[in-house]
Amino acid sequence: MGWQFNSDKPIYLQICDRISRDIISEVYPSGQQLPSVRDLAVRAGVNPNTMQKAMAELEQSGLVTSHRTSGRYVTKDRTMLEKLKHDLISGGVEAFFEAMEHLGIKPSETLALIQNKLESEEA
Amino acid sequence: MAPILECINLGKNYGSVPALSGVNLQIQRGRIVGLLGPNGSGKTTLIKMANGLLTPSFGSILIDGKAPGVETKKIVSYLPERTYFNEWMKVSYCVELFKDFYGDFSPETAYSMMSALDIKTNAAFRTLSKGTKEKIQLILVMSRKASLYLLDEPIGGVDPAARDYIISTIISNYNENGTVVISTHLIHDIENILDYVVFLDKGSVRMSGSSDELRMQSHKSIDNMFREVFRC
Amino acid sequence: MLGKLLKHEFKATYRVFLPLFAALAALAFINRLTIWNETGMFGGLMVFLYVLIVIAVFIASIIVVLSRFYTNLLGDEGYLMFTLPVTVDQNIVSKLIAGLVWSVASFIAVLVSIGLMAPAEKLSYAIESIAQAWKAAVQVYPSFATVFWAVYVPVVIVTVVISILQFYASMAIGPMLVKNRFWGTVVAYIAISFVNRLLSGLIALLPMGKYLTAPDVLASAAAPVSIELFSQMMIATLITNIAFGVLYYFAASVVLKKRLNLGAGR
Repeated sequence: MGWQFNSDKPIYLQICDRISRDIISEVYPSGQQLPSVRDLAVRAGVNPNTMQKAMAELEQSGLVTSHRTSGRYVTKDRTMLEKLKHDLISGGVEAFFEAMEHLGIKPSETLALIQNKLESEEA
Repeated sequence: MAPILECINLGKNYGSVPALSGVNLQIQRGRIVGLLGPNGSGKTTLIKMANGLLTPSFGSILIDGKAPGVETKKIVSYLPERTYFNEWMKVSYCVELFKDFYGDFSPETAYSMMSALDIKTNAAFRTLSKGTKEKIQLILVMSRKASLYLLDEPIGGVDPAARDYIISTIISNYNENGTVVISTHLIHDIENILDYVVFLDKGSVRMSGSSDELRMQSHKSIDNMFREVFRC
Repeated sequence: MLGKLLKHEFKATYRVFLPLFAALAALAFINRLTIWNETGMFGGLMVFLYVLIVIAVFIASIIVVLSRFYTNLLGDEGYLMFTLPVTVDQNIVSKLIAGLVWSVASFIAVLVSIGLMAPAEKLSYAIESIAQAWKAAVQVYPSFATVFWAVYVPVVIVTVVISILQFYASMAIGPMLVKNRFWGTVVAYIAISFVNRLLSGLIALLPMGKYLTAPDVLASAAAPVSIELFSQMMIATLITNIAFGVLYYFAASVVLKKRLNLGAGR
């Protein structure tokens, strides 16, 4: 039970990251209503106050909108979602390349590794 | 507003053995607080004093600005380490007892939580497993809309699934006007729900603060901080 | 809140007494049929069982009084009882009242069962004799009825209350004398009984004091003097006992307020 958190960043920011990823991967599709703060807090295994802070942060960024009586919804703004997806993806690619470099693998070798992987998957 | 729990130079001696030596503490409302420390650090003593089960040797302890008494017991919901129900009592009788004495108790909440666990309400306590008994006590305690919940080692000696259940129950029944104080030495499982932590060592406060701030400052989890502070 | 505590006290204890009272009634009825006729061994067995149940009722009332205090207040259940929004005094008094009620109820139940054992004619004869004895007593001593109900019965009730309180005080003080809760209680009870007897005895002798200087008055054995002396001694004993009762209550109350140590002395 509970999501995994590390001690690099405040928990509420890690929650924001996790929910952003979930939105991109359509766990919470565009326009969908999000579970209540309490439900999310139970799922994540965190303090409802912390979850509330994360929600506030997500609202600030516009990713999530809140309707007073009916709760919180994922934004319908496709452009924003596309941008977020793009940011997350390029962030992931950046991180991958950094990790490869860290291991001492040159960019051309990295490219070759990727191509091999893709070919073996198609087969 | 007055802190919900305040200790002013609180001390307790058992004979010549000091269990608490001058604790100063203020716990604000609406938080989930971890009272963390190894066995024998004084956590249970402090909680018993908040409940009026022990009287201070010196100093004072205040709940909502008042000394422990009938008025504070109305707003404090306590889960001790032990089961405090008689083996021959039925679950339904315990619910009735809570309903009679506590105006903030909701039998519906308690029954719905129990049915979710498939607990038969006319079962006698002696027919239930230790784990189930503990869950029932937790359910009763959390079915009150108290201002202060004092949970003494709620997850110690309990299997991981039960631990998850307990933590989920605490989170979902938590009310924003209420404060939950959880005393434990098992920090890893519980640190994600704590707003504020107090480290208690040999009867005095070693460290305290917002858990997020402490994590940021030291770049460690509370669990790791604890292990360092209390390294044998 | 006291009412609620009482309700729960009775709920917790009626399952001991009601079956015993039922057994008492049942055996009384059976004996009513067997005692007055020759039924040999079976009749003897029924009488034996009846006596056994009477003893059981007596023992039950003592055990219930003791265990309600010892286990429910001083054991693990104390974690529940002392965190309910009630005062320590309310907790003690609720147990005391329930204990008294069951003691009196047990006594009445046994009396009634004895009455049940007698067939109608013998029963009405017995009742008539008691009524006549009562009338005779009233003729000799006009205020007998008042004294009986206003003095004698309350004194009996007070005595029961005081003996219950003596147990409570022993249970409260015990752990302070001896680490082990059980033996501490036993030691405290014996010690308290000893002190009580000693002081009561001494105080009872006080009214005799004035006769020590005039032994000839005592020797003349004038009836009014003896009766007066006797009642003075009774009153002195009674007052001493009541004082002890109050002391026992405060001992239990203060210890439970200041020195409650749940979970110690196992």
